Order: sequence, then C-alpha cells, then structure tokens
Amino acid sequence: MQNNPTPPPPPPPAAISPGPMEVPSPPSPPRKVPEDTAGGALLGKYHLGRLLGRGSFAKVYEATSVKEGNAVAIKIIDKTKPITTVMEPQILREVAVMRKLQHHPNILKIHEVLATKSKICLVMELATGGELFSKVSRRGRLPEGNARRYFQQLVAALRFCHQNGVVHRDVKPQNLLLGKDGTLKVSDFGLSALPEQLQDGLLHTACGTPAYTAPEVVCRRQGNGYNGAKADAWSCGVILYMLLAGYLPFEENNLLAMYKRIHRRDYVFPEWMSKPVRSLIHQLLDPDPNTRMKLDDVTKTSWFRKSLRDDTAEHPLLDHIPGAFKGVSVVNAFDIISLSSGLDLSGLFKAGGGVGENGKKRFMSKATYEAISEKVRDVGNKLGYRVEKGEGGSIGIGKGRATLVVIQVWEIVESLLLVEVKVVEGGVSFDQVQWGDWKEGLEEIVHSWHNDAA
Amino acid sequence: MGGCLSVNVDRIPGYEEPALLSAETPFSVREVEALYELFKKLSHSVFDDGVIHKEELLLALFRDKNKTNLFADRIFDLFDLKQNGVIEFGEFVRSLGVFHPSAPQEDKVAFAFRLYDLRRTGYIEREELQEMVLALLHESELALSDDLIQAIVDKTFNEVDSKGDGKIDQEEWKEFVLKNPSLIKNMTLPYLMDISLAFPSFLSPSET
Repeated sequence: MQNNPTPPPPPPPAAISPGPMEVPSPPSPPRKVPEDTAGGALLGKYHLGRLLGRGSFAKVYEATSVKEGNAVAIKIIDKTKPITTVMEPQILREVAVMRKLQHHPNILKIHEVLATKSKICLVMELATGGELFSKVSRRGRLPEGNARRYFQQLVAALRFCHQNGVVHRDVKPQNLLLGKDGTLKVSDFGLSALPEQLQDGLLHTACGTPAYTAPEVVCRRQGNGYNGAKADAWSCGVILYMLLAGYLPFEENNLLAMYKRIHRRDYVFPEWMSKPVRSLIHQLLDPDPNTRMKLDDVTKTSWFRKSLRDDTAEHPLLDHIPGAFKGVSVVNAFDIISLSSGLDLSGLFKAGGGVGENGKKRFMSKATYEAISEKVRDVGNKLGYRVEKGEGGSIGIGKGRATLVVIQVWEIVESLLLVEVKVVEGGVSFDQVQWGDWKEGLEEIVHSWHNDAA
Repeated sequence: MGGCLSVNVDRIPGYEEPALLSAETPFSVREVEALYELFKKLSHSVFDDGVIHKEELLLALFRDKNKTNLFADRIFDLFDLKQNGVIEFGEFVRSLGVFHPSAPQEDKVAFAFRLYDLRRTGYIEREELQEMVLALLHESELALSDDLIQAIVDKTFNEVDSKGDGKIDQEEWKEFVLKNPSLIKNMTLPYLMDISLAFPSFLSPSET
C-alpha cells in the first residue's frame, strides 16, 4: 500500500488513514511479539514491548531499557530482506540527520543504533502521545488555538532543520507525533520515503506522499531541482488546513486530477476558518514555489505570532555547550598551548574526518573585551541573531533556540586578545551563508586573522 | 577472545576483538565497532593499508597531509604505543579511551603531561614550555616580542614549579591542573559519547 498514490479516503471530517508504517498508535492491548524477538532482551539492552506500528521493511516497538528502565521506541529493520542493502545508505542518512537535529524539542531524538546479524535497530525517543492525526481523526477538526499551537511547533522544527541544511521532504500526518505533554515531535527523516522511491525497483527521486507533497516535487521534470524548504512550506500548508478542517484540501483518487486542482488552487475553505488563517493557507498552497510563502515569513504573521510561547528568551545559549569556557580571561602558558588545533581531535569525527579547521575561526584583537562583545552584539542584532554574554570571556550567538556559534575571548597578554569563533550547530549554512556578513561586520576589531580563517 | 565472529574476511592487519578492547577502555563493544568504522576510513585515506600513518592523522585534523604541527606530532607519537611509526586499531581505541568523557581524570592529566614532556625526560622543562608556546604562536601567525614570550613562559613556569627545582614533575602538574581544570578540556571529546550514532556499524554486527 505504500506505493498507492491515492490520498487518504475522502471527507467527511475524520477518517485519516494511518500511514503505511510507523509510530505510536493510542494504547491498545499488547500484540504478540514475533518469535525472533520474543522472550529475552534485545541484545541484552532492551525489553521489547508492544508493537506500535509496522511497514514492509520495519516495525516499531515500544521497549524498556534494561539498565535505566526508561521507555523508548525501537524501529527494527529486517536485514534479511534483499531490499535492505539498497536501503542502507538511506538508513545511515536518517541516523546522521536525526543526530544532527537532536537538540530541538520538536524533533524526535535518536538514542542509539544497534545491529544484530539479521536486524538494524534504531533506538529512539518514545512519543507517548501517539500520532497527532489519530487525535484529529478521533475528535474531528481542532479548535483554531490548538491547531495554531501544533502548527507553531511544526514550523519551528522545520525551520531548525532548514537552518541545519536538512530538508524533511516528507512532512505528513504519520510523521507528526506527540510527546507526553502534547509537544509535537517531527519524526522519520528518510526511511518513510523509501517505499515510494523503490516503486518498480526504480529510484523515483520524488519522495513524500502525494497528498502532502508540493506539486513541483511530484511533477518535476528530469534534471529540474526544487527548493526543499519551499516544498516543506507547502506541506505545512496542507497540514494546517487539515488540522483546522479535519480533511485534506485536495482529494482525488486520480493523481492527475488532483494536480490539476492544485494548479488551479481549486479547494474550498470551510466556513469556520477565520480570515487570517485562510490567507496564510492560501499563501502556503501556492503552486508556484517562487511566490509561495517562506516559513520565515510565516513566523512574522500576526496569526502565527498569537500566543506564541516565546521560550527562546529564557533559553540559555551557553548552558548546554560542553566545555564552554567560563570565568577566565587571563590565560597561562599552558592555556595558550592547549589552543593548538593539533590538540583538537574533534576533526576525526566530523563527517568522517577533515572539515576545515573544525568549525573554528580565530583572530587577534587589540580591542578590549567590552568593545569586542559590544561589536558582536551590534553585528548580531543587525543580522537578526540573539546574542548572549556568558560568565567569562564567552558569548553565545543563536537563532531561536539554536545556539549556532560560541565566541570565546582569551587575554594572551595585556591589550592583546585572542578571539575564537566556534560554530556549534548549523555549520554548513553558517559557513556558507552567514559567515561572510559576520566577518565583514567584525572587521573593525580584528587585528589579524589566523591561518585560513580569512 | 570471544572470537565467534572472527570469520570476517576483510579484517585489517592488527585488528583486535571489540570485546577485548571494550574491557580495557571506557567504550562498549558497539562503540568499539563504531570506532572500527571510523578507523577504516582514516587508515585508508592516504595509504590503503589499514593502519594510520602520520599523514592520515594530519589529513583528518587539518585537511592537509603535509601540515607541520608540533602538537599533532606529539599526539601521533603518544597514540603509536608500539613506537613503530603507525597507529594500529588497538592503539587507536586504547588511546582514544583517554579522551572519553567518562575516562578517569588522572588518565587525562597523565596523558597531557606526556604530551608536553617533549623529550620524554619525565619532566616538563622550561625550554619545552617555551618551545610549545612559540609553536602555538607560530601556528596562529602571531608575532610577540621575545621579552613578552619570555615573561609569559616564566610566569607560568614558576607558578607550576612549586618545588622550585627548574622542572615540572607529574605531581606539580597534577596540582596545577586541579587549579586550572580547563587545561585538560581538550583531553575530552564529547563526540565519543555518541560515536555509535556517528559511525553505525551495520555490517559488523555483534551478538553479545
């Protein structure tokens, strides 16, 4: 059924098909665990519990850690199926992506990867609240306030992905889970696209599920790329519509007919949808990706901003940074030595080794620490960043909840400071997109750049 | 050696059983397997022979296999436990174990001491400290006057050399690090915590 391009069954409200695989369903009586995993703990580490969902290639179980006793979800992929070999790069990608994104509250965390002779197991955070859409299908459409709260979290998660160079490309109901306090958790980075991709044994690069996928992704011609962030914005529009309406904006059994309607913007707003939200959905469901609203702009609309929980203000930028250097400004000779990039082995672990100067840029400055932090604040504000001064010579720079960069200031000798700019998250986009502006902004306080940081 | 799986055909020379290495280091068996994935990558990057040459370490750290860096040289020497000019898998895992966040502090302190004891005399001498400061300044393309450098070195050296005998011994070093814990900050690699996520080893499964 994964290959079936037919969208979920037509209205009336409710009746949203659960996905082909994946994710917690609301509590149900325990189902039988297959023989090969029954009984003893999985690799001695997890006791498998009930089956949460299944697909052709993977099953998801609830499980309990033997050591810590906490509940997790384990996606078990059967290696014995010949298709798994083809999937391996995809699985690797999913793991790499989830790991990269694991610091966002609205993205499902991955804990570990295990392998046995016959299985690959991804151990993940358990979303105890189940699927967001089983909630919608049980209760019908959501009140606007609730829908907005979920939509805000979805947009936050996707913007975080985009900032980190990741495009989800398969935002759909089955991939939106709920944590125990109702927090939205975006899941499934990569695997869910597989069944579609391997249709007819051919790799169809368009991924996602037609009903939620932007038209330019599905209809694109050979060689035509598409902007993934724009495609995710489309999916957000479909999801928002569905949360508020209880059914999909475009539903046709015939794909061609559906895309005709998409291109004509042929859908109807139910009478209960408010004007501002109609306008927002209208701009997201723009068949032309070039004029479609960007997620960054979505966050500026007053509908979106209403009762937005801005917990970013008190979210500290420096607290969770391992080894953020605090409280020292004058350094001794051994401190100076320990700055050597030859002693920083983190380069071994970056994408298989060797990513530039380990995301670090350094310069010397003859300005005072106050002048430097003032300058960083100015440049940061101008470029739309949040800047937070730490206890010692450290300054955190972030966007939203994400800490992107930590700036560390060391006093080598009086009136000579060494400034280190260390990219913590979103390395690629920071380096390629934003660093140029930063560098230009900071130029005044720079005495000399180190190595090839220039 | 628990070797039920040693049937694998394409093991690199100097391969050691993960279970054995796990017992000696803070790593779990699966983490050792993940390190093996990493090791395979590193040890084939320049020379296709399954051991890490200095060029391969430099390439990984600096993207330049011909880089000269005193400290990377020291790291290489310390990792090369057998002193045969290459880093084998077992040496790699045992040495990286020191950098594990849960490795004992004493190990980290001792490792740093050996790192800075350039001439392996069992002491860090004033000249060694000076040489290292110069190396870092050079690495950073930073020119300071000789007087200034001398002042920085002397100030620190006298502070550490509490016995005043002109050399820093292990005990003095330990005390100094206790007062300045940030000194061994780079002896801990947070990356090692989720190594099995960074380098999942699907193909070399373990059943333990």
